[in-house]
Amino acid sequence: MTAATGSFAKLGYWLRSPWVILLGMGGGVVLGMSNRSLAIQVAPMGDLYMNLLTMCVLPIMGTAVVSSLGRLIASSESARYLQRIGVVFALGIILATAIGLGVALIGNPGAGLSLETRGNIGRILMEAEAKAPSSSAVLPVANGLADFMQMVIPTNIFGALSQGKNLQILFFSLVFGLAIGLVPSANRGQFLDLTEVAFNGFVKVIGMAMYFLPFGLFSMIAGQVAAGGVGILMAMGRYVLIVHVAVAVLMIAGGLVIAWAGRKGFLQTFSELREPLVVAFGTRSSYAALPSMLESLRGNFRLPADIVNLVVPLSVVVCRYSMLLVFTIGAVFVAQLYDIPMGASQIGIIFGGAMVGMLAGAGAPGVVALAMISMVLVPLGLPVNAAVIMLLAVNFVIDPALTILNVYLTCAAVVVVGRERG
Amino acid sequence: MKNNKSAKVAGVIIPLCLALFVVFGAGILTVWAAPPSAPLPADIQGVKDRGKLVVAMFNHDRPPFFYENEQGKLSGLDVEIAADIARHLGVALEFNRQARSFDGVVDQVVSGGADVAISKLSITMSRALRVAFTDPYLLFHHALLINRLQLGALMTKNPGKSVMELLSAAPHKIGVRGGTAWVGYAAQSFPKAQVVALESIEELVSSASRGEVLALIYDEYEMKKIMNKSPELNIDLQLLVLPHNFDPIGIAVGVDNQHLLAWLNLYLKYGSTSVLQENDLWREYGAALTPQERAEEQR
Repeated sequence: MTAATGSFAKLGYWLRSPWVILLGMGGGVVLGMSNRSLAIQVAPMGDLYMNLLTMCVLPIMGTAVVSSLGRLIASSESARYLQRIGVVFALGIILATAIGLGVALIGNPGAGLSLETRGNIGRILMEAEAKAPSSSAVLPVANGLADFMQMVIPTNIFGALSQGKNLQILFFSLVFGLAIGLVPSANRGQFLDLTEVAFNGFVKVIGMAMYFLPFGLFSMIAGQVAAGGVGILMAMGRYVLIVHVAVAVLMIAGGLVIAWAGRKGFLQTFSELREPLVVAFGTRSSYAALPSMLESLRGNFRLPADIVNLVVPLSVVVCRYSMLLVFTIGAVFVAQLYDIPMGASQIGIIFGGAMVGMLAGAGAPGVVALAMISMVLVPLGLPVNAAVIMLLAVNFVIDPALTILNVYLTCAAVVVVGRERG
Repeated sequence: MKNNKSAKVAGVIIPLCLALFVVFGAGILTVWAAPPSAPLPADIQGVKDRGKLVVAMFNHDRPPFFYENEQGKLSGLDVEIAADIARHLGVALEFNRQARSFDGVVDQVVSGGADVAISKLSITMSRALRVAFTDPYLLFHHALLINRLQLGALMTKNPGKSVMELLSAAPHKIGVRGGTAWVGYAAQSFPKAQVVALESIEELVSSASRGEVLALIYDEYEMKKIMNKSPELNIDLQLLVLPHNFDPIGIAVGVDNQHLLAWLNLYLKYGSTSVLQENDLWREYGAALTPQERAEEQR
């Protein structure tokens, strides 16, 4: 018995080591490039793994927020932390927007493109429009505050849960957690404990799933590499490069912040957060990385559990730094493609519009969130349909880097909010 | 005694055979040398007497329908159809390419300068007043190339409206190729629009790219040809194919030549399949339909 558990423990340790995970991912790339048909057959197993991770994320998010906010409100420190959260989020959003815009204006993603490149972009538009003729394009633009509130507040929480409307679930959890914290009740502690037990249960499930991460990543990446077309890089290569440069700049900034606030070495921050970063890269979903983020931040950074459990879900849903980069760099790309000059007012429109667009698309799935770029493009007089087609086509190439950025900056926000003074 | 009998038989049979031979021989000679029993209808007879079919054709090239190939030889779908018809009629083929516009091609038939017009010729109501048209042998969808920036601005000001509604609502500028049926088609589809006729495709496309006109209207085949040749145009211009509007292509015949018209219709329906199949460059981009395909589409 002891020998068996001993060897299981060793196997478990080995499966969660970074080298094995990298091996799984590398193997996926190799298979995807060498044997496309087999890779495509293997891909559904990756989808199953994603389903398993996603299955646990909503319960984890809900229970984490309710239990942590409930306790926080009940404690005396709520005001200080809530203030910090607001400030850190605002600063993070402004910083990400400014850097995205700055890198784009320096890098010029859409200016002076060769005829061949423009031809390739034209072909992307032609193929997409041939498949789905947009004779009438009705875009999901949030018209005013009333519409926005409708997106945030669920009429039926179970409906929101079943449809995976993350923003609504978050809102409900916040309200519920707040209520529990405010209601003076003798049994409140028991309810919060219960919620926390449920939370820990789901975390355990995810923990077991993490042993299969190398295999899950192998299948997923094999399928993605097999399916992906490299031709897109011929058209939007410069845009892809600039996005990655912006990601790198923000990662360095984030790393410095984590190192300072968490009192660790710069490189150490990456190794301590490797599991969520790897999950983010392989799954292209910050939600799938959420449980790993909670575990790594609590375990490696010695942050108060309630702060971690509250700020991580809040940031993942509301602060999508990836969208800020896409809206700023994407808007500059489209503007340059159509020879719109970049004056001060245009830059201001992009800056403000990107932030509003990100908030308007909070919790929405990929394409719908991307369509929020209309907030930036419409005031600039740029065609939204064509822009969405172009940016969507290249999305799968920049997704891994953008997801890593979301995860990393979320961790940075948590570390700053949670750090002890002095 | 037996000799007498065989001599008698031979005496009857041989003259009989000779007589039959003479009769049959005379009959064969009669049929052989006799003129045909009745003349053909006057319009077709006229062509045969002249020994050649004169086909009016527009004087610039329109590949792949009619064009001079690298060897300088006139080729293309319409050329093959004309040659096939001449072969059926047993006459030589002559092309009359004096006409400098498509309406001019119709004029050639009206004035008698040509028997028929085979020239990617659109069947329009105004032309059909002056000549008779066969049923169409090809149909093109109408297609628009729309300036994206201007369309985007219109869509923002009028949310929820379809592209056609936006284009029809106000006196926008619509570019067309001058001297073609498209001048009329544009006025028909967009009654409020200001129709701007330009001579060449290049002028039309650059005018739309610069935003001097809101949109162009032309046949789907030509539009797809332009967009495939210069895909970078897709950035500035959006291609929209109108699924319910058709440009039918037919052969024009003088109004008095009713039997020739009837015969040409039969030819197009039953006799032209192999010519259409062998000259199938018009199939490129999937942008042209035979009448049978259109019937299928509408079902």
